[in-house]
Order: sequence, then structure tokens, then C-alpha cells
Amino acid sequence: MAANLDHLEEGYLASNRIKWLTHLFSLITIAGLTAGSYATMTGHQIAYGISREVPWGILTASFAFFAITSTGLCLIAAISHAYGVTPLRPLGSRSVYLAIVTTVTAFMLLAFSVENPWLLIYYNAVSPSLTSNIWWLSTLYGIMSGCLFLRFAFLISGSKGAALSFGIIAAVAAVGANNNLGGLFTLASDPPIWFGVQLLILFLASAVLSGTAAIIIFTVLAYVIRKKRIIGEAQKALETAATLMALMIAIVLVVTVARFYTMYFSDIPDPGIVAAQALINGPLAVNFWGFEIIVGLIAPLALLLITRTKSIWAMTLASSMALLGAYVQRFDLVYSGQIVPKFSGWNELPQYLHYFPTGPELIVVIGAFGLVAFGFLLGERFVGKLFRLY
Amino acid sequence: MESMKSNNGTLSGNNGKVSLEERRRFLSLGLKITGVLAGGSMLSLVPVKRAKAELLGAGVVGTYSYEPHYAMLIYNDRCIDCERCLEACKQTNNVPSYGYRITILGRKKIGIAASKMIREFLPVLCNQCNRPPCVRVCPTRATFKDKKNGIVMMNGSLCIGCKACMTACPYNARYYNRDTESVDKCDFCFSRRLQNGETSTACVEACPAGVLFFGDLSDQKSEIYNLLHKPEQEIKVLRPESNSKPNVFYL
Repeated sequence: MAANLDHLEEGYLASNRIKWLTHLFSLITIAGLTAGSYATMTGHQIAYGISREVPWGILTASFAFFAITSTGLCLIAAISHAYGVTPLRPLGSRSVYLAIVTTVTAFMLLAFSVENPWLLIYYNAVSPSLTSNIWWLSTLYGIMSGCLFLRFAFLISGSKGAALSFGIIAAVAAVGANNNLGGLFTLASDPPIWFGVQLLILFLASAVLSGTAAIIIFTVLAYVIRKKRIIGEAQKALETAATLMALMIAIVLVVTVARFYTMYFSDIPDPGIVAAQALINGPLAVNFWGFEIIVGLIAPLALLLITRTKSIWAMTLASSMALLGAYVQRFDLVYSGQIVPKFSGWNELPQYLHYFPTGPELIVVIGAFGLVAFGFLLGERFVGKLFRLY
Repeated sequence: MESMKSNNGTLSGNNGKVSLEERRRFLSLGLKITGVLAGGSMLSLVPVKRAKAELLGAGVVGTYSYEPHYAMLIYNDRCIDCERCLEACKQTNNVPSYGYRITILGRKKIGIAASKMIREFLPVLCNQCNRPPCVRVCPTRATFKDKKNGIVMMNGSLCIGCKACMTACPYNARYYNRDTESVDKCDFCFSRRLQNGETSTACVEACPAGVLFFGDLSDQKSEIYNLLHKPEQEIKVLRPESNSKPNVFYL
């Protein structure tokens, strides 16, 4: 395997520019780790902007963002390798690698959003609670990341059969983990703004949407740093991914409309409506209409339809916008579930509870993005040739 | 309630006159239907139509599941916000200054003389729900419903601090205690008092206005049982829409 690894290195990517960038992103990651460690030592309610009433903040939202993206990447890898969607194959190996990187990032964020992360690993095993979404999602993401590591190792060593088997297990675990992530914000939030059968479809479609957007962006970046043009099979693969992304955007749009439609025209408790109002016409309206709907869904869909998913720059721009929209969507998902005071009308409580991330929280989030960029550059440099072998 | 009473009377063929015994039997059925006997899933002051719907839908008539089945009854109109309950709770359970296990909410409302606004207070603590959302979401079983007495307890050493229970709790009854590195909540003073043989909680003992009553609902002779089962009484629970079946009742 070591010999194989040497063969996979893209030697000419060891340029000063790439090295400098890699160091920069590693420093950003270290800053994030330092800020997270500081918060763990001093206490989250001191270092972070969270409170008794809003105990989940931007770190939980960012965890959801990276975990859902890793599910999407894992699924793309599975459908390209295992389920015979051959046009996507040139993106398969890179998807596996990036799924690992984003899962590790998600775990980093989970570790810094939980007060005693070391206990999570231990008690998840010795004191499991099968009714808990957190237990299922951390267990299934654990299985998924383990299978992805094995799959990647088998890809490097050339054992395609074993790689395929672990890829399928990883994909199944990923779907389960993703559903439980959705279930966490669906069932643990109070008031219950987030519930309904369509939410599972929303989360799955959203995962594939984020996954396709991420793989398009990183594939284009991989060609940019190699100073090569995207042609042939790679071009075809990106076009297929962009078509898939357009389809997912359409599904997410329909489900988003359906979610609010059922909320307003079905017999549900009032507090849910108050939380929905926060998104439609309240403090989260700019996030919802501006970022989630226009930047995240309508604009990328229009861009992809106008260019018929043929233009690389258009699909890169659409993917970037979709990912930005997805990030804001995760934030709104987490925040809107806690935004309505549980005893409205008492103690002169405001209509909506306030939350704003603090410096350490933002540094941890920037560190997480740095970790993804750092992992991407390392991968392109040290196992870059694997990504051309599919 | 009037229409329900007359319905009952007609059924008994008593020309609208209902004996005291029949009335009691009917009210007891009403309590069972509306869930108070099942740990209080509903208000007994739900509209008549809804109570009938509950009757049609009720497959199983609830009984008290625990022995002892601890519960609290709060006469919130007696509360004067003296905060002695808060103080007693803090001292008894070592609650830090940044947290609380029991709190008193307040708001202005129109008094009996319509022109005057008066203050209304509402003591709120963990409702020791029969269907506790916090227990369901906990990934490590750090919080659990005691099988014997039904109190929702914390095993702090298992708590990972994910705070899912805090978001899930309909009553904002939980906080993260930095000193013990775990989520903390009211346990009806079980660890500090009840398990040492005492029969009441610190807040109940400290209350000078007779707002709080604590007791065992599985004992039909207990004061709280009789207070809760008085005929024609409107018993309320907080946030019934969460369907968590609380064991803290308000009068």
C-alpha cells in the first residue's frame, strides 16, 4: 500500500504556492481547535453566545452542514461506483475522500458543541439509548466514517470489490445518520416547527444537493490548481452532477413550500406558526428569503437551467450559491427550533429569543472550513492521481 | 360542563336531576377521560366537545403508574413572588447562582376591578412528565424516569452535555451546571430529602402562602389526591399541547 501511495502522489503540486496555502489552512484549523479547546475549558455558556433558552448555536448548525454534506458526498460516491451511474464515475474517488474530510470536520464541530465530548465516545458504547436521535446519528456517522476509511484504503490498495462493499454499507449508514440528524431537529425542538414526513425527503434531497455542489466546486478547484482544462469524461461527469443538483434543488423547493403549506393549513399547535413567522416575516426573514430561497435555490436553479448545465463556470457559481444557501438553511433550522420562548407572555419575554455567535464560535467555524480546505489540498497533492483513476 | 351534566342526567332517566353520587361518578370519569388520572395529559377545562372526543378515543382508562406516584399541585393565584421557594431550592440542592430548578414567572393582568392591572405569578419547575421528551432525546440515558416513583432523574456522570434535553423540555426546567459538568434539574428533592425519609420538598416547606402541595397520588387518602379530585374543579397543566403528561397541576 505504501508503494501504491507513492505512485498516487501528484509531485508537481508540491509547488510553493500550494505549500503556502496548505500551511495557511492548517494554521486556520489550529486557530479553530484552539478556540474550541478554550471554550471547552472555560464552559460553553461563557465562551459561546448560547444560553439556557437557546442552547444550540452556530456550531450545531455547522455540524449539521458538514454532516449532511458528507452524507451527500458518500451517496454520490456510492451511486457512481456501486449503482452504475457511470457518467458520475470520474467524481467517485474524490467524493469518497471529501466525504471523509467533511465527516472528520463534522465530528470536530460536534466535539466542540458538546460539553463533555470524551464521554460521548465512551457512553455511546456502554450506555446506549435507542430512542435518541443523537445516539443513532453519532453511531451511524461513526460506522459511515469507518467504512469510508476502509473503502478509501481498499481503493488505494486496488481491491475494488472490498471498496465497493464498504461503500454500500457506508451509503446505507449515511442515509440512516442523515435521517436521524433531521429527526434530532425535528423531534427535539420545541415548539415543533420542524416535523412531518416530507422532512425526511427534504433532508435526503438536501444532502445530495450539498454533496453535488461540494463535488462540483472541489473538482473545478482541483483542475484550477493543476492549471488544466476540464474536458472529456470529467466535463461529462460534472454536467451529470449539475443535472442531479438541479433536480435536487427542485425537490427541496417543492418540499419547502409543502412544509409551510401544511403548517398553515393543518391542525398544529400555535407556537410552530410563531416560529415559522420568524422565518417568513421575522428576524430570520432575510436568511430565509434572501439566502435559503433566492441565493440557495432559485438563482442556482435558474443558472443551471439557462446554461443547460453545460457551462463549468455557471455550475461552479450555482454550486457556491447552493452551498451558501444550504449553510444558512442549517443555521435557520437549528435557530428557528429554539427561537420562540417557551412561556410567551410571561416575564415580558420578547417575541423571539436572541442568539448571536461570539468570536470563539466563529473562529471554530472558520477553523472547520480551514480543515476542509487543508484536507482537500493534502488529498490532491498526496493521492491526487487516485482521483483520476476513479 | 353544564351540558355534560344534563346529558348524564337524561341517561340515568332522572328527568334532569342528578344525585350527588352519580355526579361524583361522572366527574371521576371526566377526570379519567381528560387524562388527569393518567398523570394529567389534558386540562379538565377542555371544551365539552373535546372532552367527548377524548371519551370516544380513550381506549384505556389511565391509572397511576407509580407507587408512590409523586405529584405537585400549585395554587398559582396564591403566589406572591416572595421567592422563598427559590431560596430553599438553591440551598437544599446546591444550585449555582447562574441556574435555577424552580422559577416564578410573572405578568400583568386585568384584576377584578377591570380598570386595575394586577400582577399574576406562576411557579414553574420540572413537571416530572409521564411522557418526558427529555428522556427520549438523551443519547446516554443520563436522564431517566425512575421506575419506582416516576421522578425524572439525572445521572450526572453519564451526561455528555449535548443539551438536547434542554431544547426538548417544554418547561425550560433544565440548565447546564458547570460545577458538576452535567445538566441539572428538579428531582422533587429526591436525593436531598425524600430518599432520607422526608415527605415533602424544600420549596413546599418554604412556601408561606400555601401555594405548593406535594404528595403521593397513588394514596387515595393523601391530601393532594383529595385536592385534585374535588368535584367541579378546573385543573390545569402547563403546555398541554406538548402531550408530555405532566405531574405538576395548577388550580
